[in-house]
Amino acid sequence: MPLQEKQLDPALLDAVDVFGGLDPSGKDEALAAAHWRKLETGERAFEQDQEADAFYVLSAGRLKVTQVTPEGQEIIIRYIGPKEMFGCVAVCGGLTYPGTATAVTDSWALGWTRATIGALAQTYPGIALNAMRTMGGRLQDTQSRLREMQTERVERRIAHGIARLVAQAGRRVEGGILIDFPVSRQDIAELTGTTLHTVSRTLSAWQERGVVELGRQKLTVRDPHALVVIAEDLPLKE
Amino acid sequence: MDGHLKETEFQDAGLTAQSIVGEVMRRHPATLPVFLRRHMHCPGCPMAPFMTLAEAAENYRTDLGALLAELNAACR
Repeated sequence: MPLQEKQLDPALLDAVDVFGGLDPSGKDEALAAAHWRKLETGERAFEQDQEADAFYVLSAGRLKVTQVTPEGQEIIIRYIGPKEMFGCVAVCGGLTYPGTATAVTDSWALGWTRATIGALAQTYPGIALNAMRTMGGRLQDTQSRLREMQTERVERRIAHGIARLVAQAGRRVEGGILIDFPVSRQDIAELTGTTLHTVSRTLSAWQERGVVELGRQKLTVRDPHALVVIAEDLPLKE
Repeated sequence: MDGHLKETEFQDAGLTAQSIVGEVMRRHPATLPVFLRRHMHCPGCPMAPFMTLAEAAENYRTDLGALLAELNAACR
């Protein structure tokens, strides 16, 4: 479906956090100060490390925001849908865009240059507060994602540690592989450079999933494949 | 399990459902590409010395008969 020229939904700004609580005349002023950008599929609204000169609200279409790691690998940070903001860093004093925004379908966006939004925020201080709130929300997302990644890393370390014990002292028994010497949670914590608490929590969760079985000083790997899937972060087959 | 391998040592590879994955790869390195092609992570896996081909096939949701046929063919 080809996009109409400037698909302007008059209610567009009502749904945008940064303009929340703005009176109708303020919204008109904000709209008047905006510029339109049409983005063809594959076109970039801005690139990582480019000067953050404008922020945008997507009117129609879909964008992906990606970052390139120092190793050259591209990772997707988030997808942007209609009524969502992107390039927020331009409102909050960031100098460069932290990622690249690319249209994944033909898209229309409403943009405000840094100068324009600065002037609007002088008149309507609510805009600055809203921007802070939005950035705060994204920071929280980022932090919980970081926590997930840390947890995953520790789980992988523990799984690797147990796999090493299996390679060293595993003995095939009915329904699994027994680690054939007395091994405590504390031993595993020391082997994997983590805490006793973390090992206990992780092993209990794995026991519930049937991956391992813990006895007193006795560890049996019930589902060796599942342990390797965790250790190696293998893709799961359905 | 060990008995099985001894028994078939001097025959054609004769890999069966109960053959141990680690042994199969050690004795018949020509089988490695079969695992790799099937996206099985057995080569280098610390669990391989403990698992049978039947278990490996089950873990990777792959057809045991087809796997055995390919592995035996690779040994010839």
